[in-house]
Parts: sequence; C-alpha cells; structure tokens
Amino acid sequence: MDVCMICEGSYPYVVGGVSSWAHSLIKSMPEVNFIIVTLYPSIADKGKFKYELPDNVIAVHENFLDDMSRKKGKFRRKYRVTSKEISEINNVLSGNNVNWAYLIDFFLKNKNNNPQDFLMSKVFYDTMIETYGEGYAHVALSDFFWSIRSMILPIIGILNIDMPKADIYHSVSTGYAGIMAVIGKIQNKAHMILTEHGIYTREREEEIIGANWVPPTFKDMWIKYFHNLSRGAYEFTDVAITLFEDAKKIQHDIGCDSSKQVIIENGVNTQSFLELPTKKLGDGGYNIGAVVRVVPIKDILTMLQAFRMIKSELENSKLFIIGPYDESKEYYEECLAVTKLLGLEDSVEFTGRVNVKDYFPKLDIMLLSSISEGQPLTILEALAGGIPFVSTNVGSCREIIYGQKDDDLGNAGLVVPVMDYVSLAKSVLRILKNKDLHSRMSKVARQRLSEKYSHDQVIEKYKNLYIETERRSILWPE
Amino acid sequence: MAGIGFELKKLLNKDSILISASGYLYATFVSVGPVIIVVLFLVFMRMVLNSISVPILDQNILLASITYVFMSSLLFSGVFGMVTSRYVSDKLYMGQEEKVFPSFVTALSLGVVMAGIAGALFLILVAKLPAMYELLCYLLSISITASFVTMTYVSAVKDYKKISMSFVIGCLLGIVCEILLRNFFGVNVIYSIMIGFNVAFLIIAVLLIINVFSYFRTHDDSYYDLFRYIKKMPSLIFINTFYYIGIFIHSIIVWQTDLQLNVADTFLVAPVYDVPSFYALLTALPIMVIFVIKTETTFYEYYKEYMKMLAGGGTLKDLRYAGDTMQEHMYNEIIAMLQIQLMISALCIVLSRILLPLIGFSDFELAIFGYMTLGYYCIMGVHVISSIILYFDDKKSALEIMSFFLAIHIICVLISVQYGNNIIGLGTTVAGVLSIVFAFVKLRTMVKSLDYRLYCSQPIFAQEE
Repeated sequence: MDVCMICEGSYPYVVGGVSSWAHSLIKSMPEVNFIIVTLYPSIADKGKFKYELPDNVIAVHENFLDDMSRKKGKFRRKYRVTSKEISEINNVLSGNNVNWAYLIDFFLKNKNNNPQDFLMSKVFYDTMIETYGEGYAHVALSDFFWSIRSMILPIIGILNIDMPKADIYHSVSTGYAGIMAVIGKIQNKAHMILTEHGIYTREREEEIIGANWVPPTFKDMWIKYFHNLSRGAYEFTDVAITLFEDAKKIQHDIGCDSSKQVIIENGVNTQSFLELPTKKLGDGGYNIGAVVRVVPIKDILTMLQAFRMIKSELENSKLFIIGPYDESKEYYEECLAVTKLLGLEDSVEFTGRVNVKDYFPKLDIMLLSSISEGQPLTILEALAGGIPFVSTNVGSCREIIYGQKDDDLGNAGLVVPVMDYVSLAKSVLRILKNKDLHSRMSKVARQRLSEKYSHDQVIEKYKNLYIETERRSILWPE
Repeated sequence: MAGIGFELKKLLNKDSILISASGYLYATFVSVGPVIIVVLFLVFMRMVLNSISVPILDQNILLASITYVFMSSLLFSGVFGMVTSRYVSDKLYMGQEEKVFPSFVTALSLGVVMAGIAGALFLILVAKLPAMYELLCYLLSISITASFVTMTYVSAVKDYKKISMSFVIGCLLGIVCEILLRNFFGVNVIYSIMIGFNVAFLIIAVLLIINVFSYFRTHDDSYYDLFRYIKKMPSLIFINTFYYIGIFIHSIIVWQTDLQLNVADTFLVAPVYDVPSFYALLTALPIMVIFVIKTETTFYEYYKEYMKMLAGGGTLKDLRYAGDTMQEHMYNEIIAMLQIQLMISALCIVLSRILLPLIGFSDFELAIFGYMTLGYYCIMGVHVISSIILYFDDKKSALEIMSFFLAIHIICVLISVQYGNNIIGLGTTVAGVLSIVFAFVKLRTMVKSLDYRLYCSQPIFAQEE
C-alpha cells in the first residue's frame, strides 16, 4: 500500500507534536510505503530534515512557498475559461463556498507549473475587479490587488503541483495540505484521510485577527479564505480524524460531515517512559520543565511571569525550557530579554534541542502555557513519566489531565485559563507544596497513560483505518 | 501545530514602485533646441561656401562628409540613448544620484568607442581622402557623438537652457575660428569649415561634460550598473535604433539608385534627393517642441494623478475617473499636436512652391520635398505616440511600432524606387501613413487594458536584481 502523507509546515523540517506523531506513525508501519509531500515557507530549508527518514519513506516531494514566486511569470497568458469557472475563481477571492472539483479541474487543464502566470492574466484581473466591486469598492484598489495576490498565490501554486501517485492521500492538516490531498485524490482517483491535530481554521482565524500585517479591511477575507480551504478538505476526505471530543465538534461546525468523523488520540511509547526514574519532590531544589518550541503560540512570556511568582515563594526552584529556539529568533530574543528583566537569568535555562528523556528524571513538575494546542505529546510523555502537569485549558489538555467522562482515576495535574500567570503559578505551587497531592497525581498520570494513550493502540487504529479505507469504495462529494 | 499561516506575512508584497516614466521625455526634447542652432550653423557654412568660388567636388566632399558624420553620430548616440535616459530618470527618482555619474562615464565610453570603431573602419576600408581631412572627420564624429550622449544627462536635470547655451557658444566660436583661419591664416575653405565644425562640437562637448560634472558631484563606482539595465530592457535599444535607422533608411536606399553621386570614391549621396528631404525633416520639428511643452505641462499632470491613484490610495472609481480624464487629455493633445503640425506642414508645402524655386529648386525636387514633408509629418507623429506608450512602460508595443515602421519604410521605399524617379519620396509618405495608423491602433489597444497592464505585468514580488 502507498500512502502519500502531506505535511504543511511541519514534518520533517521542525520537531514538535505533529512531526513526531508523523515520524512514529511511519516508523511503526514498515509494511506500508510512504511518500511525503511537504509544503514549507522557504526553499532555504530544502533537504534540511530534522528527522532521519525511515526506510519505508520511498520518496519526498518538497514544495516551497517562496519557490512558487521565484520564476518570472509570463504576462498576458491566455486562459480559456467558462463563466462557471470564473465564478469559482471569484468564490475563492470573495470567500463564498467554492466548488473545488471545478476549480481543480480548471487548473489541471491549464497546468504549466508557474502559478505567477495566472496572477498576471486578464482572467485573474477581471475576476479580481468583479470581487472588488462586490464588497470592497471603498478600499484602495492597489491594496486590494496586492492583498488578493499574496493571499491566493499559495493556492494557485498548489493547484499547479503534480501530486505523486498513491492509494491513500493522508493530509495531516486542512489548509493548503488538505487541498493538496484533494488534488491527489481527484487526479489519481484514490482515497483521502485527514488528521487534524489542532483545528487549522481556528488557528488561522486567531492568527489573522491578531496579526498586524493584515489590514483590518481584509481580515474577514482572509478568514473566509482559510475556511474555504478547510471546507474543501472536509468535502472530499473519506475520513476526518480529530484527537478529542471538542475538536470533533468544532470540525463539524465548520462543515465536516459527522459520518466521516473519527477520534484517534495521540499515543506515546509508554514503556520507555515508565522505566525512567522519578525525582523525589524537592530533592536538591524544585525543577520545573516545559517541553516546547520557543514560538509565540506557546506563550512563553506568560510562563516566565508565572515562574517569577513561583520563584518568590520557592527560592530554590529552576525552570527548564526544553526545546528548539531557532524557529522564531525574534520571539526567542524577546523571551531572553524578559527573563533578564524579571531577574531570572540564573534560574531559567533554555536548553535548545536535547533528548527530552534526559531531563525527565530531574523534573518535579511540568507545564504548558500555550494559547492553542491539539493534543500535546508533551503532556502524554510527562504523564507517562509520572510527572504531574499544569496546563492551560486548550485543545484536549483538560481531557488528558482530568480524564474523559468515563474515567474516574482522578487528576494528573491542574488546568488553568489561558494567559493567566497568577493561576498558573498558584497551581504549580499548590502541587509542589503538597507532597501527597504530588505523589497521587504522579500515580494517576502513569495509570491513565498506559490505559488510554499508548502508542501501540494508536498505531493499531491507524493501521486498521488504512486497510479499511482502502477496501471501501472511494467516497466522492455529491 | 501544523500550518504556515504565520509565514504568510513574509510573502505580503512590498509594493513595488511604479517608476516614473518621465525619463522618456528628456530623450524627446534633446533633439529640438540644438537642432535649430546646428541648422543655423549649417546655413552659415553653406553661405560661406556659396560666397566664394569653391570647386564643386570640394563642395560635395564637404557636404557628403558632414552628412555622414551627423547621421552616424545620431545613430551611435541614439543606440543607448533611451536606456540611459531611463536609467538616469529612475536613479534620480529613487534618489540615487551617486549612480548617475558612473553611468555617464559608461554611456560616454560606449558611444565614443562605437563611433571610433565605425569611423576607423570606414576610413580604413572605404574612404580615399587626404589623411588630414580624414582625421578631421574622425574627430568630428567623436565629438558630435560625445555631445549627443552628454545631452541626455544635462537634459535629465531639465536644464534645456544650458544645453542651448552650450550649442550657441560652441557654434559661435566655431564660426569665429572658421573666419579667422580662412581670412588671416589662408587656410583652404574646406579645411577652415571642417576645423570650424570641430572646434564648435569640441567646445559643445566640453561645456556639456562640465555641466554633468557640476550637477552630479557625488558618485560611487557602479560603472557597470548601466549594463544591468541594458540587459533588463534591451527593447529600449531596439526602439531607438530602429527609429534612427528608419529616419535615414530612405536616403541610403535612394543613394543606390541612378540618382546617386559618387563623391571622391568615398561617399554615395544623391543631392537632388538629400537636400529637399533634409528641408522636409526640418518642417516636422515643431511637433517635437509642442510635444515637450504639452506633455510637460498638461498631460503629465493627469498622468501623475492617474499613477497616484493606481499605486496609492485610489479606489477603482477614482482610478477610472483619473484614467478617463487622462485619456481624454491624451487623445486631445495628440490630435491637437497633429493638427497644428499638419497646418505647419501644409503651409510649408504651399510656401515651398513659391520660395524654394527661388533658391534653385526644380519641380522634381519640389515633389520630393512635398512627399517627404508629409512622410516626416507622420513619422514624427509615430514618434510622439510611441513616446506616450512608453510613459506606460509598454515597451513591447513601442517596439512593435518601431519595428513595423522600419520594415514598412524599407519595403515602401524599395517599391517606390522601382517605379523610377517620378514617385520617389512617395514611399516614405505611404510608410508614414501606415505607421501612424498602426501606432494609433497600438495606442488604443494599450489604453483599453491600461489598469490590467500596469497592475498585472508587475512581478508578484520585486525580482531580485
């Protein structure tokens, strides 16, 4: 069986939840051939993989956003279009529901691998003017023009990509990757599976609302655009997987048919963590760990604030921020500056990329202050290692720490609101100051993990899913 | 967390600058003021020739060599003329004045080297004249080329007065020199005139170069930067080269017919054709003056407004309004220019019937003058239209127009010379009419999708240079 896995902005260029999930999934299924199709911002990262690819990865097709705009476009390329196709292009621009089958068909017909040609064509211009007239006539045309151009360049680029042949197209997010899977499915009449670790649409939405690079007038347009991408993937996928109940609900609200929806949790290789020695609470000071990439969405700044409060009560405590900090240099610099400002230079350590397991035996407690998460692997690993966890209430963090409805094991840590450093600090202190509570949580953690989130179970589920999906007839939208 | 949303901001376009195309204007004006001065200068020299008895062969040598030197200098300075004026206006627009002077050195070297090589080849392979005279011709062609190249730079700062002053001073000193040499040093008139020309253009070149020095005091060492432009917009070279060749190609063809006169085994000319067509060329100059004044004052304002709407904060409604207003003025001005010039040309033809016979024009020469006046009228119109098209950076259309003009001109003249001398000159008239119609069609086509062209022809991201 050939599975084409489509990874947008993740595997194998960055380490993190989605990447390590993808990596372990591939590694655990040596009998399945994987073709990796990537989409990543910069061609400068071409071939710079953070993982050693398993032997069953038979090909990697790398695609880069900036590469799509490198070749000089041809002005005035002629496109033969029907009015139906024009109205679909218009839908992409204006954010109305897009009939992706039509649109993909149009670009397959006109393929020439230089997306710029389309953006320099009369068809594009006329359609843009039409969209402009329908709701943006009050804004500067040049702003609208450049905004639209940069907005749709990636999607036009993707519509010009050749997808490799495969039996199943497995996209690990919606967005551009989702549409790439749809193209693969249509081109090769194959199956499609979609796994969403977070909810792409929501993540983009939050990001756009907060972004100062999108002028306010165009925020709505961008949000609708990303909605459209997700709807396209939901419409064409055979199976849509989420990690937890809340995510499933959101996915459904955005437009995924509930008959396609399945929940498969993330899993960790519990055995290797169960074997790790645990630290005696407070032995040689209190050590707090956070396994995170240093990027804005993890809200490290709130974590630092909270740690200052913790430090003021427990003088001999340390914070280890365990994970790479080269992804967003700007944010890392900011974190360093804040650390210094709070006078924490001596007690906060940014470890960079390290073997997480080396740190586990040193840690008394772990935390996460993310603004958005899916089902973070770091919580699962911490729990497998018997380390109590304090996390913000995002994604499925609550489900893992407090247990799902049918689970009465108890709490493996505490959950606090987003960006609330006072609660975060208080919760950490509450656990660290109460030896009984700490050991109870540690026990619950290990128990819940081995019962609910073991790696082998997850792999088994995906294996069955692949086999079943391939056996079934392909599901096409009406 | 999958996704690349955060990265999108890095792709958002840094609005690429719509570069002011007013550079083309400089190139246009350059010819006019100095031309008048040079014509007066020629008339003076001609009067000198007429006033004393000079052997007819010597007269012909002088006239033919001056004709050849001027034609080749115009061509050699014109090849890169449009690229350099575009380069200079872009750099001034972007505030990179320090890049102007180095490009001047490069442009001047290019022009001088081309004129030098071509001149040397001609003198070695073809010319059979006294060595001293050949040397004077050679030096003259270099100083004229240098003057023309330098004019582009002085006119870039719109100091047309300085240019004209340089020409006036140069020509006056040339005349003084000629008179002194002939009357007090007993120099042969052919040599005194030739030296007079040399002195005039050497002084013009030096004065203009001094002006460039004084304008562009700061400079870096980007001497090769101009070549990047040449590589980037080769069409500008072809547009100008085709235009200059197109203006003279009819003469070169006629020189091959039975009207030809072989001067000293060196030059082919056809005086009965050359003289009336030269006068005809002069009648078409007013439109160039009008064009410069009109575009500078009215059209350019509307053009700027439109560009502001396009690149800046204009809505589609604003843009359409500015565009329509601009187009209206553009068409009105082109029509007005053509009307005025038509009256001038018609008047010239009428007057020519009365005046030119007085200086010995035959009916045959009058006919040529008539045809050529109409022909040049159209050709100048074509030039005006193609300059306007270049305002909108539509190099492709401008090149198509000039290619069409050159090709059709060659074809028409070749056909017309087949039918004997009766309709000689008519070829240029027909080619001119066809070319101006073609240019109008191109202009209309361009204007119809102007917004689209100016927006969508821009690369998605500023191409790395």
